[in-house]
Amino acid sequence: MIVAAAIVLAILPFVFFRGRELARALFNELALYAFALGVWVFAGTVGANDFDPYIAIVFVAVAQLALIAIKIAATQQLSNPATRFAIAAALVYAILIPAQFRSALDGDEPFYLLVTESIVHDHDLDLANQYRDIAKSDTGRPDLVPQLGDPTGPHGEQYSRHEPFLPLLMVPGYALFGVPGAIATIALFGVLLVRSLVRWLEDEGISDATIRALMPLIVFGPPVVFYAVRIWPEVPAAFCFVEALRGVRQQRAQRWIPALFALVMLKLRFVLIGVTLVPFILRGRNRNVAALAFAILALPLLVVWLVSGSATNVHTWRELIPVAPMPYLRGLFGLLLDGAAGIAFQAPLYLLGIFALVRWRAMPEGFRLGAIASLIYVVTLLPRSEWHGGWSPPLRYIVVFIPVLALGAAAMYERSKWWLAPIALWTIGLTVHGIAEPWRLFHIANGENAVGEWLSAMQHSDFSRMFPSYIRPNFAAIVAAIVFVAILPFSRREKVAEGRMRGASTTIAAVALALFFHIARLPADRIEFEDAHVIHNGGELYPYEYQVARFIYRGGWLMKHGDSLSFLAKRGSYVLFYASTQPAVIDLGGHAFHLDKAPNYAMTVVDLPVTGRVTLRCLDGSINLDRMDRRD
Amino acid sequence: MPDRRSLVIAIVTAIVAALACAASVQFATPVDRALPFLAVVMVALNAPIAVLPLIVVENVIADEPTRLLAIGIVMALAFASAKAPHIITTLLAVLVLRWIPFHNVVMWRELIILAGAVAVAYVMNGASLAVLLALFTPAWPAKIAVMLFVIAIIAAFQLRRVKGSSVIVALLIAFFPWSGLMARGWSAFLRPPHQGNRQYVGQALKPGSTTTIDVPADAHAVIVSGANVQHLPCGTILGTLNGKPVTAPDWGFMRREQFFASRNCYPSDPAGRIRDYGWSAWIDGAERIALPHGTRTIRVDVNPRLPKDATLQVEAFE
Repeated sequence: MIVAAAIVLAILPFVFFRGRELARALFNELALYAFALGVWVFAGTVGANDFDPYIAIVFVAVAQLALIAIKIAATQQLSNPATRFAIAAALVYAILIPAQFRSALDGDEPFYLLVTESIVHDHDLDLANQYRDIAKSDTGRPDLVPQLGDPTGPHGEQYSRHEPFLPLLMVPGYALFGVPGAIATIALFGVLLVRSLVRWLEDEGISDATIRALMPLIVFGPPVVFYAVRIWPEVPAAFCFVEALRGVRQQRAQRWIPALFALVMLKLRFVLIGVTLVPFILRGRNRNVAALAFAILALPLLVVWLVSGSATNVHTWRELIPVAPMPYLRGLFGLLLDGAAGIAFQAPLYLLGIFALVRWRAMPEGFRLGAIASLIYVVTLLPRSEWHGGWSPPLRYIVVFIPVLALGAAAMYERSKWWLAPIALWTIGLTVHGIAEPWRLFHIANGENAVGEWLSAMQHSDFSRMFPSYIRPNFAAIVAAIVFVAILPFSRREKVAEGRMRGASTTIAAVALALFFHIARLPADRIEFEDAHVIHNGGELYPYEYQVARFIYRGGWLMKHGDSLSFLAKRGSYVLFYASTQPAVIDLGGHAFHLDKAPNYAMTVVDLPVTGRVTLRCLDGSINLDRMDRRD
Repeated sequence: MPDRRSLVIAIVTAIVAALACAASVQFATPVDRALPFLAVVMVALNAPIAVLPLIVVENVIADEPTRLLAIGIVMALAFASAKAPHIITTLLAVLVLRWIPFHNVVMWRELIILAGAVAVAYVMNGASLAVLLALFTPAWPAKIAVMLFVIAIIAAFQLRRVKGSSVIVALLIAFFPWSGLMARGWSAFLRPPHQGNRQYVGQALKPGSTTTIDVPADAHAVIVSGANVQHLPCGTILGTLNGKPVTAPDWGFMRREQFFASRNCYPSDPAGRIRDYGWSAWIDGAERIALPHGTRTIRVDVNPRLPKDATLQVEAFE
């Protein structure tokens, strides 16, 4: 795989450059290899070996990509960028597919593959025999069982809740090359997405220089790069969405009809996008077109009804009815700013696309059309408890809108250039992390994120609280929301001097980073007992990691007699939230506390006499510790 | 030339970046303590964004060699992407390579080298050769440094067409936490020193003396070095060990003050440790001598013809 990656990286400059520029790009590549080799030799000499060699290799490969991206941005002329970026995407995704096999298929992926297997081998959608012989399945998941609420037939048939269109698309690839072939099908849609997106950006008047600067971050950065090499309908949907938007903008029925059809067939939720898009399709059109558009929207409902016996499958119409405002706010800021599932931390480039909304009138028409088409879908997504995507790589539910956000980001690029360097740095980190450890793309939605967990576990201090969480709302979430709302109006301002802004942004970021590390090492006001900063000696996570819909539970740490844990805390009075089916006795910082039986969550007041590391022991009974909040 | 407003912004950015880095220092090595200075260098290189990974590295990597190497890599990336003039790049590179740790800097010697490097960079219109020269030029004796730079400046007029690369400067900068090792211990890259479990002996034997030492069970090698032997030619026999000749360099021959005058060679089986940081970094000259299996005692005879103040040190068993 390393050799394949080196070959692909060697070919990439030939895709973009000619003559002296090509020679320069190849020289840069060789220089980086020489540099990496030098570092490796030197690291051995000085004993610097506290790093994972695989991550180091992935880092060098991503650094090569970054180097090529810088060169692409700096080049003066790039003819036919759509095709070139598509070829580059094909090459890079091809080497990423085997990299993803470091972990088993996860989330919805094995279910999609199981349906594909069923279509190929049995020519049906009944998965009962697949589940019976799950050990023989190519999913590599012998533990796979039907998902809660999956439709069943009258004769013991077992169907998947997932729409069969994506498995159908993967049939040729799977039949020819097995699982890699199935994933290659998704990657192919990734390549098509890249090509269509560049074409769309050009159509909407985005300059060549901006396209050259941003496309590498879009093509090789999250979330596209991860969803393009895994079995999810998101990237094919994004391709269909951008094609539908292009078709509508160009008033070309040959483009929007197949695109809209494929989009709504991929996932029932995408019908909400189609519904919003239809009025724009129908402007000044005849009845036949209207009938066709509505037929396309009705088709997935029919298919789902045929498969599951319900036109809405596992969903209900009630989900479309507006609820109280708080869940909307939580979902909205969560999608934007959450440390584990928000755009700001998982794909910061697209935050520029959000800021583009503030400059609505100045934005390209395609962006406005895309944003309006996204409206109903987003509004119905926000109040859902699973707004963050559940057990999936980050940003699952909004990957389909990446083309629109990319167009917005491109339109904002000229006045936001100074943010590109920090965005690129963060994106490189995300890409390295996701490629080197693909299993960590999945997170249990407990309010922590990968960086927070890593730092907390390493330094035994609560770093996770420094990242805004709307999954388990914390103080940082409130601060982040206020800051975000406060800076929104600034994005309306005309272009500011680049040098001034670059200096200011670096200064602010450096101070913020220093403060981040300083404050994170101080004891926190709230202790979440299951978090990574707590040192656990015995006990277990509640609910267990793979609990279905885990995010709707109050997380905690189960302790029984003899178990203990320790954490940093300030002195003072705390409210302890716990659940216990029997009376329990705990020792906290040398003081014993008798806790009453509390089958549902209860709270009690406890005191900590000193600031510092505190040990909590379970002396008698068993208890589920939720959290501890400081009162003063 | 930058306008006044840009200059003020750069100065403010440098001050704030240095303060942020000063607040982030977690460890006591001279390289860690130099973080504020490194932040200023980054701003001067017009690569202030590199301050961010610098703060992150300081805060998240606890293992010392790995952290220092990571700081070096961040600095290297800053130099590789620098858009500063060659003279400024050279000046900053020499400061980074040679002026850490600052308390070891002999000002007038280093100013000579700094001026020489800047002059070479000016004549060459490039930083690579100047930085290379500055790295390898000894500060002791100073006259050698002066001579070297005079020759270099003259040669630079002839070499002006040779184009350098920022990659060379970046590669050198990556290892600045041990730049002394780069300058004086290049053999360590081919034969890196390593240490096993040691049982220390700590005997310094004068010329003509003889001693017998019991070998601990499981020991497979003895670690020896010389003292006050840096002027002896490479391969001088310091004594015998169970009848076999022993050669070893002076324990401190790679120190910056001694290296240029020393005639010793890097050990063939190095057992020394990397000591100090930056341009003061060096490896002690401990040599590993393998013992035949089952050796119970060693008899060491020190060469009586060694200088009076020379000693053969039996440091430890491994």
